[in-house]
Amino acid sequence: MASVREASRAAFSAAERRRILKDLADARREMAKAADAFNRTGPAEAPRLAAALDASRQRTLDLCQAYEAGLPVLPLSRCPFTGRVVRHSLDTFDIDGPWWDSERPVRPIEDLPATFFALSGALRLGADPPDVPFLCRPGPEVPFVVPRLLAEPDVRAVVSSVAVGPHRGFPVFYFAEPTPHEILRVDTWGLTQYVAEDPYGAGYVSRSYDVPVEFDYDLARWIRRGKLLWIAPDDGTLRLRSLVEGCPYLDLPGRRYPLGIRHGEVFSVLIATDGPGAAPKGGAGPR
Amino acid sequence: MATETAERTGVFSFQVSRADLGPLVVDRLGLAPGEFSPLAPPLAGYAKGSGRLSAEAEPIAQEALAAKALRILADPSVRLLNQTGGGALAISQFTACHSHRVDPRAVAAIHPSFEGACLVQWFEDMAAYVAWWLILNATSTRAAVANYAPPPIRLEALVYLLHAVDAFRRRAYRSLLDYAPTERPAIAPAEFAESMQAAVRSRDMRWLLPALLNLTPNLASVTLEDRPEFPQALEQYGFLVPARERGTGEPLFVFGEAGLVMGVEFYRTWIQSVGFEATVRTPAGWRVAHRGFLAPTGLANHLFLFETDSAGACTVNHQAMGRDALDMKMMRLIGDAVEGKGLSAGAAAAPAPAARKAAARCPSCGGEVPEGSAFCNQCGARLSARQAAPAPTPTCKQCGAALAKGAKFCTHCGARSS
Repeated sequence: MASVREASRAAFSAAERRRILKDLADARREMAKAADAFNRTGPAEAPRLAAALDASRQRTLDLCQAYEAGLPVLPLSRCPFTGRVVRHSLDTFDIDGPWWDSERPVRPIEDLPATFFALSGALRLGADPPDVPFLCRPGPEVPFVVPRLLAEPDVRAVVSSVAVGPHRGFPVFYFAEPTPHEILRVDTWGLTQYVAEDPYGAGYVSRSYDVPVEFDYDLARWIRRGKLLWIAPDDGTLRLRSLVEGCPYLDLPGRRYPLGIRHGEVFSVLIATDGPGAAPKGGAGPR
Repeated sequence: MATETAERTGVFSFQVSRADLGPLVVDRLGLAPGEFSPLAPPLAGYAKGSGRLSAEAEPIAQEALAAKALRILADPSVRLLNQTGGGALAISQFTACHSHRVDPRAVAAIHPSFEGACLVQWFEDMAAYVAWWLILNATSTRAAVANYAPPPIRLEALVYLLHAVDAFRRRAYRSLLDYAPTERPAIAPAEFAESMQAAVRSRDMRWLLPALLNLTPNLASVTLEDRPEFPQALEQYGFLVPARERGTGEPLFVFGEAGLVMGVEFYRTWIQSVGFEATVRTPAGWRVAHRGFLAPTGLANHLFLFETDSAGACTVNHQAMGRDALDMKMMRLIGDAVEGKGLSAGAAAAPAPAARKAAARCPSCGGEVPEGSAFCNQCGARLSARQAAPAPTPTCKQCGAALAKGAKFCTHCGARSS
């Protein structure tokens, strides 16, 4: 099988990315200042300050577009129903880019196969996390599956591995044929929402919650049942594998709860519950 | 009465003898089956008015649904060829057809050799046909099982994997005959290679690999390449793992996880299979919509779908499916064929005898092999460009199409060959 690991377009370099992120951070600060000044001004100054605000907003948008255009779009998985390679954007440089910003993400519209159902994931930190002002939610440090999704007869998942700067990402793509439209999916990796299409082709946004029942780290059980396949790390052919023996994603070390990362601090964003049927409570850790 | 039953069940069946087929179809109904109609071969050589409809067939001639079924079969726009057999069953063949012109919903099928006569069936719609097809060919399992050969996989690699499944059965029989149960079955590489050649040559449908190669329509015409990566699939997919025999150090293949699980599954619960191909009539000629092979076991319906690219490389999509998933898949495949979606590009669907190149001959067994093959698909012998010499091909004097060796009739125009 031929290697398919090459990115489908030329991504920005590390230096270009650094410049865009710095300029974006400056532009957002300018926009915040301009908005604050506009909110406190009187009618006489309003037109001038509105123009300044519009300008900084446009600059912010332009920088977001530059970041989005430069993101790597990588072959990360393969559909177990069709065999088609799945390409997806990912900021593979580190987790300090707005791709990883769960509050104001910057991501392109993905070109995904009809069998794509959801994207979840995990990330094992390989170094101290960067000091970012936003909330990064990269998932637990150990790959997991969402049991209620795989309980659907028409759904299968594929786990793979990708370097994200000094860290190791474990995207888990869910595929379905046909699509079970009536069930809740799972938040897209790194975000607090997901986008899907209804049976009539209309897009909608929804969200799931990081409650304990959503995380099953016993991958071997799902591989044996034929519901989970895997792609070996650094396998350029993205060949799907169904064997438990030799699977590198079993019994990995790391924190087994979804992480929140802000200003270099790492904490849990797992929503504790009192048992089945109880209303979720609690929330993110220290800010 | 028959119509009332059909309206309730969605299916109507009748049998007609070979002797009555011409008088019924040609004389009574005035149909002229086209060259790709499945009625053409049994009606080859029948001259209008030369026969007489028997008294037993007269009620059929009065039955409206029988006439509809025969009209669909005489003028198909989609043809679904099915070849069943394998495991413990003898080979049989039937062709189902859909005709946009005659009826946009119904499907008709003909079994040309059913108890010495032709069995014809009418299905009120695609769902009724697929439901019947599943009863005939699929297992009722609903649980998911692991897919040890996920897509995409080259046909050449699949040949090795399926022979590994057969090899497990060979070892199981050997241990029975030798009164030597074993916890870790193994096979010598030489025995694996020799038995694979024999399997390809044998056409013995009691084994999975020959069943796939011979029941899947026109799969034998695919050119198989010889590359080291294909036998490597045995280890990569966990079917056979290289090892050494304790004591002697002789090389062995030990059955891996996939080889053990699928080996036991097929050894214990595989009974029969069906190969199928859908071809669609287009303005540019007949095109293949899909080609597949189904091997149901007690655990799963193993569906293999074959796609050949413009370079002739054949890739397989294998799925291990429950009954419901297979139902939806077959509905979608046939529905796409009816709508003309996903048709193969390039040359017309096989068989198109006039378009075929002259076949080469294997120096080992003399069988015909596709030009450019690295191996003989009859005996498994390795070929080279010097060895495989083109042989003269008999042609039909009426239409010029190539004739198979020993053919009494041309399959293209139905003319008797001299």
